[in-house]
This record gives sequence, structure tokens and C-alpha cells, in this order.
Amino acid sequence: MLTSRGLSVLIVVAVQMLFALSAVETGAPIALLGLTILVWFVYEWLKFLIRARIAFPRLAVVRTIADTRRSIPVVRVGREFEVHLEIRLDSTIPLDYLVVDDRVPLDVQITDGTPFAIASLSRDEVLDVRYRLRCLAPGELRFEGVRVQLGDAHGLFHHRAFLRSPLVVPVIPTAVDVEGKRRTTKRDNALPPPGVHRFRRPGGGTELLDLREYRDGDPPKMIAWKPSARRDTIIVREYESEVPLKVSLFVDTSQSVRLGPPRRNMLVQLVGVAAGVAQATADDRDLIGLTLFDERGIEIVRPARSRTHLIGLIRKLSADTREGPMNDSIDPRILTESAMGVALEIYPDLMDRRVNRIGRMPIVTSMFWRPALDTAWGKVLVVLFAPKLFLIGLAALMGLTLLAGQFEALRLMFPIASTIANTIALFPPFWIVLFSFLEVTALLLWIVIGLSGHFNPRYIDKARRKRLALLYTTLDNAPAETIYKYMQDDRFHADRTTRFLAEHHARIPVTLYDKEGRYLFRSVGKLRNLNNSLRHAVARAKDQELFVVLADIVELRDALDETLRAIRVAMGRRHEVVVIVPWMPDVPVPDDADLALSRADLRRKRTEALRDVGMRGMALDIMRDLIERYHASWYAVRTELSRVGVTVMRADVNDSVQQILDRMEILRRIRRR
Amino acid sequence: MREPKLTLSDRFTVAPIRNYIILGLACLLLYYMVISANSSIAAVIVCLVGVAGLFLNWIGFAVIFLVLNFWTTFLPDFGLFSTPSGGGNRRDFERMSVLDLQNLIQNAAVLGYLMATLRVQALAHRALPPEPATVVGRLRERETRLEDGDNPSMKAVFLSPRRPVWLVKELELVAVALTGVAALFGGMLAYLGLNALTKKVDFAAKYDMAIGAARLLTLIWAGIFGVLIALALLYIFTRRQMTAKVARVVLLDMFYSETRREVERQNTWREWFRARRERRR
Repeated sequence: MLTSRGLSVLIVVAVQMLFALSAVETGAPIALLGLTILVWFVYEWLKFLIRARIAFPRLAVVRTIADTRRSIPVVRVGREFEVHLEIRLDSTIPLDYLVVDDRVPLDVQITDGTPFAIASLSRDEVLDVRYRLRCLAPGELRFEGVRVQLGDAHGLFHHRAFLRSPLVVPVIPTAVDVEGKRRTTKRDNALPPPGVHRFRRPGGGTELLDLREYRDGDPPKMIAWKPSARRDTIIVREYESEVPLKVSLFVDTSQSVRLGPPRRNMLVQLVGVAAGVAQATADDRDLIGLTLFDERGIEIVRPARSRTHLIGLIRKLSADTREGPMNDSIDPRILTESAMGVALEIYPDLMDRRVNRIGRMPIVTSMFWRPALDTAWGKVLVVLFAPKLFLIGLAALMGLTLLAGQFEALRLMFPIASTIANTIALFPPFWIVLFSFLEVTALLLWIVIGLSGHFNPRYIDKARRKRLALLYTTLDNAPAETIYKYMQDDRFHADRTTRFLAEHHARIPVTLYDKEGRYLFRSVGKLRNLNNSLRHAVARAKDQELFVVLADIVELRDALDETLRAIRVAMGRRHEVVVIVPWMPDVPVPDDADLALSRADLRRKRTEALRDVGMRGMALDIMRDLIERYHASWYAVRTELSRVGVTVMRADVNDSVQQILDRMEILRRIRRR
Repeated sequence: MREPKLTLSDRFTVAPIRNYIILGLACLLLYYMVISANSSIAAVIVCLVGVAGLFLNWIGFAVIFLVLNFWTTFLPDFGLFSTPSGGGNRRDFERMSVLDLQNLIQNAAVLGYLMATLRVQALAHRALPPEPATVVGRLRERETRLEDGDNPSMKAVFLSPRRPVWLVKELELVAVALTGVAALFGGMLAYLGLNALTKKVDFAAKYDMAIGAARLLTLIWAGIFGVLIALALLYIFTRRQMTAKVARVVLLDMFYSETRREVERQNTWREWFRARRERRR
């Protein structure tokens, strides 16, 4: 609470006071001055303390997200919106100097205004903070709350707090004009109306499918009179079915697509494309379904065409981008360090050392004090204390026997006790020195063993982990025993910490490769689930449908056989399959000219690259290797998929949504009749 | 909101800062008049440091001013520029009256200057710490580097805003003056109280010690009791203000402290048993 300024003034005055008071002759004036300054300082401190402890906790913040006209529950990518904070004080004690700083979520642009404010606040006043933001990626925005600092007029004291007012706002992708504002009327008469397409099965459509002989039960209006007259038998017309067009999106939500900076990872690319397709499809009154798959399983949303269905679908997609990547190889210590920063910032009251202690003092009751009896040295301690304990025990027993009037027993014990007493009495100084030595040694040993816990190399990590464990247990309303589980079980702690970081949209440090250089996010399991979901969709599909697979399969080119088989089955059933691959954010987009590079060119490029020396050269070399490998995998995957007639696109390409819509148009025209 | 930086000339044009500068200079003049009786050169040096504290953005000048004031008042024989022993300001506790005019003016000048210079620094330079002094700051700094500055609010953490001049109220200067006068009288009362307490407990006679040491001991004991009482009151008040979540943390923390050792011992035995079972397999 004291600033460095306040502390320096206090120390100087206190030291002067000590000198002045101890000096009889010359100290009086300076003592009086010191006491005067001290009285003033204590008065200012008390004034500040009352504000900080009584008025400050009564601050309340109300947040509103609004567009130009009214408050909105969701925001759209690329569109501006206003954040409005109303901070009120429910106390008669005014706050003279308040600094407010709203914690702006990640990956947004502040287009107007500022999230900071400096003000004085009293009961009847409202502090308004307004600023405008623009979202850059779909997902969720999480406003945690407001950082508030209270200061005084002299700069002697300050108090920090965090007014938590969590608000989660879904950010849904905006369809661009060409995708979002789709036509709702027929372009020409060759096409069925939007929302349906022709299917070569007898049905209730308008296009003629065939003529056949009359059967009992056929409605008379179906009779084709002219052919009937020509053939001299009753002929009826059969019409084609008009069925809705179905689009099934298969979105990869595995850990590998979650890698990268929050809200700028591959999953965000996929969600952007999926949401664009969903909106455009819904605007065409076509059915849209969604299948989310990852290493763990599949989640299916049945195709539908209503507006509610679309909103639910987009919300589901947005919500799914919230979690960060996770695998078993993340070092819990690194996770703890990351979580600690977030926890200290957002939950300063629950992480305060006065309530969430690590027990440094007193040392003996600290959580780092190592109980000697719990260690192997405990037996040594017992041995060291044993002789004296034996004597004390014997004396106590004799005393008790005497008190109980057991003279017989005393008589029996007396010879033993007297023998011991006589032995000790032979060399009293020797025994005194021996017992004292043993005692002092035992005491020193106890202290050394106890303090050794404080020099544990994982001291800081354990302290942090305990404070986080207490925080998690409090937030989850979990039983008290959970703290021990967090302390003992690395996996349990790592899972909760990852969830904590993901909830607060913080970056999660992950390990990409193991010690043997294997990529840890290479997931064959998700391909298995993709194959199953594709087969399941094909089995349920009635006619020509469009399957859009949005998956990161670049790293899995050697495990694509089953997927290719599933795709072939789908294509064999006259369905269309489009594969959209997200692009790794740090890797440059491949230039098709790279394909034309000869081996000699590549060798020359590598020789040029080797001119970079030192760590920079090594880093560049690794990066180049990564890029080359990634590009090669991309081309290989594209080639393999193209062989079975699948269109493969990159998700970062701007017109990927348009290309899918074109594909749907082709389906509507029944090219493959 | 980042207030624009102030130049030296702004200190004369912005009214609230100018007022405090005038107050500070007036106090320095008073101080000079009192101290120059001992040593005019020392008084000039102290006043120059004081003036620097009013115009330059370094709070160290105020602290140095206090130290130099101690030097000129407490140790007049020590310095090169002071008058010889026995002159000026030397009076002991028993003989010195708290209403001594010279002391009163000196104290008022020092206190007034201190209040003025601190307020000028808060208005013109900085009123809050430049960055969090705790581990939060370091972790945030690290996170900022990791994020490569993609969180706009991260940079705001390192703002060190000064107190805006528009927050200065009309009657603030009067309030400062009244606070100063009250502090002067409060100091006198504290001085009288300390002397009375020293006589009452009489450590000097009981433990055969010098009167200065006895007074210091009295102050230390009074300070300890005062701090203990204040801490107890603060503790009770904090508990009354506690939210449900903080109360839960406190209870969980106590539970953890009390049962940690036993649970750790059980876990050690479990680990031992698990290892033994593995070995036997």
C-alpha cells in the first residue's frame, strides 16, 4: 500500500526520530519535527486506509456491449461495437483519485476512445468509460473486469484491485456480400427454386420424370391423355422428386488445430469458413448439418434449415474455439507459471498472501518445513533422544508408583533404578556432557532437516501450485481434499490449469516435439473419427449431398488410406466431397512456382541459406526445413485427394466459401444425373 | 488515459501546480530565516535542494531535504558550514517548550514544504508507482513479451499516471493548510504525551539507563503496543468486510495448514506401497 515515495519518507523520519530521541541535549527540536511529520503521515495513512478498506470495495461496475443503436448479445467479426462501463460508488466516503483500466480481451482493435480513465468518484456520480472495438476473428470475447487503482494526493499510498465483471460475448463470423446476401429467387427456369434440387425418383415435383401405365390408386389428374390416346391404354405421368440440398460440414476440432496464438489459430480459420458456408447455405434455404470431430470423439448436429438452427450452429462453432491446445507433455511447472500471472491479475483478492498463505512464517509451521520424524533421519533422532527419554520415563514411573503406594513394585524396581543411578553417579560430568551433546546434536539435526525443505529446488513451484490449488478449489466449490489432489497429481493439476488458462483466453505453453523429435500433435485418432463420421453420413444420406471436410491433415499424409477409402465410398454414392485444409499461421503460403524449382535450384537456395551463421542461421535453417516439409506434405495430400476427384482448398484462401457455394450450384443443376 | 507531459514552464502556468510551488517557496523562505541563524551557507544549501525538489522530477530531493534538515538541526557542529557548538537551536527535552516560536516556524516550514513538494510531484510527475512492484508485474512483462504486444491493455499496466490538475478542488489549498496546522498541534501533543509517558514509566530509574535511551525505549514500546492494537482492529475490520469467496479461501487455507503433514505422510506410504508392489511384480 505504501509507495516507494511513502516508504522513503517514513524511513527517513523514523531514523531521525530514533537518533533524536536517544540524544538528550540536541534531539528535542528534531524529535518534535519528526513527531509532527509522523502525525501528519499517520493521518494521511488512516484517511487512505478508510477509503481503501471501506469505500473502495463498494465500487460496482456495469458493462454494456452495444452497436450504434442498442445493446447486443453477440458481435460480428470486422464490425465495430461500443463497450460502455458504468462505475458507481455505493459509499458516502468519496474516492479522490481513481485510475480505471479496463482489461481489453485479446486480439481486438481499439478503434475509438480509450479503456482508461482517471476520476474522482462520490456517491451520486457515475464514471462512464466508453470505447469502441473491432473483432478480428470469430470465437468468444471475454471481458474479465476492470483494474482499479486508488491513489492519494501526495503519491504516498496506492491500492490496487480488480473489479471482476466477467462477460462472455460470442463473436460470429460475418458473411461477406457474395456469400451472405445470396439470391432467394431462381436465376433461370432450368434451376429449381432455392432450397430444393431435383432428384431422379418419382415424387411430387414439377419436372417430368417418366410415363408409365396406370396402376390402381393413381390420381386421375396424373393421367397423360395424349399418350393414353396414342397407345390405347391409360398412361400416367411421373414427376421427379424435389428434395432439399444437404450440406454436411465436418470440422476438425482436434488439438493440432488449436495450436498457435489465441484466436489466430487454424481452428479459427476453419470456423470462419464453416460459419460462412452455414450462413450462405441457410440463406439459400438449404439444409446444413455439422459434425465436430477430434481425437476423443464425434459430435453431430443434424441438418436443418431454420434460423434458430443456424444461430445455434454458429454459436457452437464459436464456443468451440475457446479451449486451447493440450497434450500430456506440457510441463506442469510452465503451466503453473503462466496461470500464476493470470490468477494474480484477475483474482488478486483470492491470491492475496494474507489469506492464501504459503506459510513462510513461522518457519516451523511453514508448508516447507520438513518434519524430521517423517524422514529416514527420524530414527537417528529417536536414538539420540532415547537415553534421556529412558531416564525421564524411569523417573516418572517411579514417581507414579510412589504416589500410588505401590511399595512392593517400588522395591522391585529400586535395584534397577539404583544401579542406573549409581552408574551415572560414578562420572556425573561425563554423563551430563554426553546427554547435553546428544540433545544439542538432535536439536541441530531437527533444525537442519526441517530447514532443508526450504531449499527444495521446487520451492517456488510448490508455493505457486498451492496458491493456485486453493484458488481452483474455491472457484469450483470443490471439497477441501481437492487441494491435495492438485498438489500430488500432476495430470490433474495440468488439466485444471489448462482449463483455467483457456477460460481466461490466456496463452497456453505447449511442447510441440518430444525428445526424439516426434511431433506430439500428430493425431491419427482424429482421422479414425473423421472416417467413421463420413461413413455414418454416407449411410444416412439419401441422395446427392455435399460433404465439406474442414480438417488439418497435412501432417497425416501417410495415414490417409482409410480416409481416401471413405471418400471413395461417398463419391461412389454420387455425393460431392470438398476438403478444406487450414494453413499453419507461421508458414508462408506456397507459391506454385516452388513446384517448378529443379533440384539444382533447391541446392543453390540451400547453399545460400547456409551463409547465415550462428544461432540465427540455425533458427533460419530449422524454419526453412519446417516450411519445406510442410509444403511438401501439402502438395502430397492435395495430389492424393485430387486423384479420387476431391476438390482440395486452403482455408486461408479468400474465396474458399465461394468455391463451396459454386459446388452446391453444380449439385443443384444435377450435373451428375 | 495518459496525461500529457508537463514542461518546466507549465509549472508556472497551471494554476494548481503554481499555487503549491508558491507554498513550497514560502515555506523555504521561512526555513531559511530560521536556519540561517545557525549557518547561512548550510541554510542556502538546504534551500537550494528544496527548490530543486519543487522544479525537477525527482522525489529524492524531498528526502535529501529532510536529511539535510536533520544535519543542520541535530548536528550543528558536524558540518563545515555550521556555527560552533552551543548556538542556535540546541535545547534539550526538559527545557524546550513545545510552543517555542523558532521550532514552531521551522516545523511548519518543513511540513509545509514536504506537503507542497509531494503534491507538486504528484501533479507534475507521478502519483502512482510506475509498474507493479510485485510478481504480477514481472509475469505480466513476460507475458507481454510472449504475446508480442498483441494485447493492448498489457501496455497500460506500465502507465504511471500523474494526478490530473482538474482533480484539484477549489479549497484544496485551504484543506492542506488546515491539515498542516492540525499536524503541528498533533505533533506537540504527541511530544508532550511522550515526555509524560517517559516520566510515568521511568525506565531510566528502573534500569539505570540514560534519559535518551529511556525515552527511545518508551517510544518503541508505545509504538509496538500502538501497532498491535491497530493491527488487531484492522484484522477485526478486515474479517467483517470479507466476502464469501475470500472467507472460503481462509478456511481452506487453515484446513490445508492443519492436515497437510498427515496427508503428505499418507501419500508417502502410498507411494512406498505402490513401488513395493511394482517391485514384486
